[in-house]
Amino acid sequence: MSVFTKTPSYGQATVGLTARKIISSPLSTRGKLYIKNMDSASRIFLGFDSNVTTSNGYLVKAGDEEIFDISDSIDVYGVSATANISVCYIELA
Amino acid sequence: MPNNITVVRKTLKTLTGSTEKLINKGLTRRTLIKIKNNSSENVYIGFDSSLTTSNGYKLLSGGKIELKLHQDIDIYGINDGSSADVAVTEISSIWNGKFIWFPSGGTAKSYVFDKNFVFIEEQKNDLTISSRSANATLKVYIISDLKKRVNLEFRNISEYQKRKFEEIKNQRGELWFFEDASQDVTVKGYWVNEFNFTKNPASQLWNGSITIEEV
Repeated sequence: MSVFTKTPSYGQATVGLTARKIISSPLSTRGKLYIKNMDSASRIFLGFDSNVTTSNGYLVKAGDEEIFDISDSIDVYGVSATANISVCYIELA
Repeated sequence: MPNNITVVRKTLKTLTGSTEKLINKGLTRRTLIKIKNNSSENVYIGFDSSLTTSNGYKLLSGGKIELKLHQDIDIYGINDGSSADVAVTEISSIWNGKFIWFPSGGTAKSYVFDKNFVFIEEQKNDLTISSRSANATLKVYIISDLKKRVNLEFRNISEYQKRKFEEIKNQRGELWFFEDASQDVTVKGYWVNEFNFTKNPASQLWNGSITIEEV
């Protein structure tokens, strides 16, 4: 079982009514990304370009977490039907 | 017969409203760490002392996360109340030792010990060598580096394992020793002591030692 050896990156961000990049500077050589919707009521939607909307995005329910095996070359965007929804993330490399 | 073992260590940490390391030192050869918030408060985790409730990864009451993180990576926690218990479970997998050898004219062979050594000693030998040349002049050769020597002691190994060791000894070629079969080579050298495995009449199992000296 391989393990991630670099000190992870972590943080919080907000998503809102228009698509917004969640991580401005991804961790170099990233191999795994955890994203959690910190809100207790509102849903968010994820996508991998700025065209993501609440109609075409990947649903993350309130309090839910998603894990993606994606490199640092792929940007992750979020959008919500409600303004200022907090998300948190961890990047492993 | 399994030749690796799984080690599990559980740690319970109580957070009291400030940023603290969840564990002091990671479990050797950790392959996975599980963190669970056992409290009714929110807990946030991060990977340096600048962690706060405003930048950390949130674990709700009862929430958990699993991370494949190297043992040297520190994990910090903070809670948004006065007291929060966090359960940390670390898992590692440790393998028995292994030999790789190179039979003459054949391809490399390997053997992971069915029963691991009970004792290992690593030495560094001074390579200051003296000898007499053909004209009887004493010459001293000094090499700055030091040679590694590993002594392995085996107790109560099976007939099969003893035969495997005999096969390796009899090939008289280069021998690579891996202290942990899943890790990098420990020493590349030669088996330098006599084959000394003897049978214990009571158990019908074999005891002996192997010394490998670096090439």
